[in-house]
Amino acid sequence: MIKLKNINASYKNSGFELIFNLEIKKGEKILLIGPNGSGKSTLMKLISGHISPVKGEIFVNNNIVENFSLEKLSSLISYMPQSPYMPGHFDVFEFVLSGCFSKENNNGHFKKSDYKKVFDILSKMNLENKWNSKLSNLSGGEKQMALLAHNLIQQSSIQLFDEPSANLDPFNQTEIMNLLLENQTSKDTKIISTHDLNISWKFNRIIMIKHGTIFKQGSPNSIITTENLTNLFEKNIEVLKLKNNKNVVLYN
Amino acid sequence: MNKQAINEINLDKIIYVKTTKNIYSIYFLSLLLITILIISIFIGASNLSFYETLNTLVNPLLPWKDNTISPQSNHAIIFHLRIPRSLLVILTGIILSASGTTFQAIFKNPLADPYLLGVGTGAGTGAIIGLTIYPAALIFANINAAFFAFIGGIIAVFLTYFLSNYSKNNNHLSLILAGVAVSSLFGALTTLLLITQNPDIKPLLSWLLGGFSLSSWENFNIVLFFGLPGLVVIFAMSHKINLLNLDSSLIKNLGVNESNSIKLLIILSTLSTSVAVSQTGIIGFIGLVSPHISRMAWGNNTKYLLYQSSLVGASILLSSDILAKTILSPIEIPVGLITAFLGFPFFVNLLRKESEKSWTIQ
Repeated sequence: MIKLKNINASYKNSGFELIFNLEIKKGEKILLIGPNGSGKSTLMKLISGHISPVKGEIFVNNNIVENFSLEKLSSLISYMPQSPYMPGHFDVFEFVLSGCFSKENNNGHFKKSDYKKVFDILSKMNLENKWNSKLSNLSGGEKQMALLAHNLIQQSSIQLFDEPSANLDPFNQTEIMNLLLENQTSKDTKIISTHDLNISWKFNRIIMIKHGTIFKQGSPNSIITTENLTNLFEKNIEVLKLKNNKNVVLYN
Repeated sequence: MNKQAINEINLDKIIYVKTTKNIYSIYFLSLLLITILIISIFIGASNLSFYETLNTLVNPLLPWKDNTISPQSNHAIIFHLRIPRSLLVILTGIILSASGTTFQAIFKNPLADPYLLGVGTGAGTGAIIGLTIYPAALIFANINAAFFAFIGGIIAVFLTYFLSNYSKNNNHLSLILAGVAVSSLFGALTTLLLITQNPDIKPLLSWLLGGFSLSSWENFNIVLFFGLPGLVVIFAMSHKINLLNLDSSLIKNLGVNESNSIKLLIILSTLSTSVAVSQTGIIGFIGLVSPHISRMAWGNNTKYLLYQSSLVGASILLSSDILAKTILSPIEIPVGLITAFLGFPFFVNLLRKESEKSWTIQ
């Protein structure tokens, strides 16, 4: 469904080039891990069409991403960036509601069903009491929740989230990950980057990124090992295996 | 079950606050504006009594002509001075407020306003160039001034835009600083033109300060003809303008072409504003103040905010014009002075908020 063929992208902050070869099937839940500045965000921006590769082509449903119209692309893919500009003068409800914009459905003239969708997602996140608060008055975690709600409500079939659990307390981190991965149908594809290495068991595939290219990929069980993580981060890391494919990652 | 019942009530309340309440506010503001319009028609430099004005207004509606209760001179004062003047004030207020709302959204900046970004002074310079090379006595002088004002306004706003992008550290303040720089550049140009070209600069100077004392149907028609099409498109795009408040990548997710929409909206609001400037002079702060008042009262959905801020802006400007007519009567003061006095504390308050970082969050 998504195919990156010899993608070459330059990366402004580091000396290295990014080179990706990758194939993603419909319905996969993919976790991207890697050190800061390794190219996780760039890979996500490439897939979602937010930046263009220098060389090579990205295919989504067998069509080149750059040839998609903006509308077509937006109905297919959504990408949640890391710490975007948040309009502080919007209240939570207006901000999440703006995610319901769709040219063919409502063209910005929101219907009662849109309001209900926003209300439901806010209740799920325990944010419904804040519906009237300005974004500028929210805590960092609440802002992150509002941003997630804004993106989730678009219900694109391919969703990319760049460190969605940043700024959240451990319980909210778990809740958010569950919320992102729940209701996953065979049509939805989710690509999520994170630094929380203990949640890998919830995904189909783990992709390790290092120095702008794919370092290793595979099932959580085969990838999250002491050796792989030590090589990826070049730090002393120990992985304790638990039952049900779960694991605990210790940093020394 | 119980929880769902509570949810239902809350959802209805939210829908009420977000839609119905906004629609009611638009009715209320329209009524307010109509009331102020009627008051403004009764107030003016010439001492027409209340009954004389009323008679003159009602006379054309009567099936018979009774010139004894309403002489021709009264008719001229009401229908050729006061009514076009009040209508021009309203139209100008709507244009400035709608442009202010648009600029604040597309520049993602609560301090944006057509004048702070240099459109006002740019258009002023353009209009004066137009008036000096094509003297005011000729018939198309006003249209000519409008055309040159648009050129000046467009040059100024794009200069501000590129200057603020030139500073890589692109924040709210750099846009305003660029606007200040461009404004003072065009202000200096205007002064230079005034002292070198025109021996009698007093009328031009008072025109620059913004005022409606010489407004005629011709001024109104020019602003209507050249300003209204842009306004109509801006209002039709209100749902998109709402999205332009967001981060660029979120806008892209929603399938909206940000840079094309921004360019179109800058051109349209600058066109409307410049044409208004060319006929009324530079009236500051309306475009900054009215979106803020509306936002504080009713929220930020641009679909409603455009109407609310336009009506608020027209009401404030029309009230200011009534003040300008009466406060030092029989002398009229430029309405731009009054709006500047009203707008200054507002702007200071906004700056204070800005320094507390309550608008930007990263």
